[in-house]
Amino acid sequence: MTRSLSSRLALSVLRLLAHRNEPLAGDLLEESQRRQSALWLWYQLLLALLLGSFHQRHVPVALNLTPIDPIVAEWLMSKRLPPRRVNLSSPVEGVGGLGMMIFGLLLSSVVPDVWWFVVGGIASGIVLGTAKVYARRNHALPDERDGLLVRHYFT
Amino acid sequence: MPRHLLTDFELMILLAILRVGDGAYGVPIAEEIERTGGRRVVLGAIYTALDRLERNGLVSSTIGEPTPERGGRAKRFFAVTPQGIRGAQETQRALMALWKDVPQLKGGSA
Repeated sequence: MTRSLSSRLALSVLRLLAHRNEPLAGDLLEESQRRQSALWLWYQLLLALLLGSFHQRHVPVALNLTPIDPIVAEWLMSKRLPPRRVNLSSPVEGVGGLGMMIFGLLLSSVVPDVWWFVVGGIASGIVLGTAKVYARRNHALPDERDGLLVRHYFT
Repeated sequence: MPRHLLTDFELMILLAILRVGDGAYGVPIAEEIERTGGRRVVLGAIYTALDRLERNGLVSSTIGEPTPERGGRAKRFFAVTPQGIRGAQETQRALMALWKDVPQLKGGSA
């Protein structure tokens, strides 16, 4: 194995791990460029893995559904801001209500048949949701079924 | 008596951050320890210790701007908190108290 291939391999491993701890990955990249040593990078990478340094800690999660980018999370923590809010008025991130309306108009004029899929999706969602509510009610805990749980909170 | 004394590595990291001053991130902290402490350090070990120190409130960190020479990855800058300075001072006092009562060191013979 040549030195350059070893170096390229180490950098590929570093890129794979980078999202777990971006500042550490940046430091390793910066220092490896200065030292020009694949052996040094492998040594640092392996020990960092053994020490668990590539596990980003205290990363907040948006709505407990999807992880936020570690850099954004660190920035949010440094600014003491709450995690990113999801814009419920639009199902597509970064596209507002007006954008969605324009998109809908375009769809209607170019491929109007696509609305059948949209309507079908909404109807399926309503049926599925109703079925889940029905199943939940039939298998609810006695306290929930009798409304006692609610009364515990309000009395 | 302090509740928690720092380990030698934690103390070195705190002192290195103080020596580097503004702009203390992983690379200069490691360089400072290697240069003055005379020991080779692993960057991953520094981050693991820094995470622990931050959890204990002894250091704070902020994320800088991403830079192209680091592959677009941002630096994480560290600063010692007042609690960290107190921790370093308490550890120094405890070590000095132990140090001065060792008779072999007083007389210069082992």
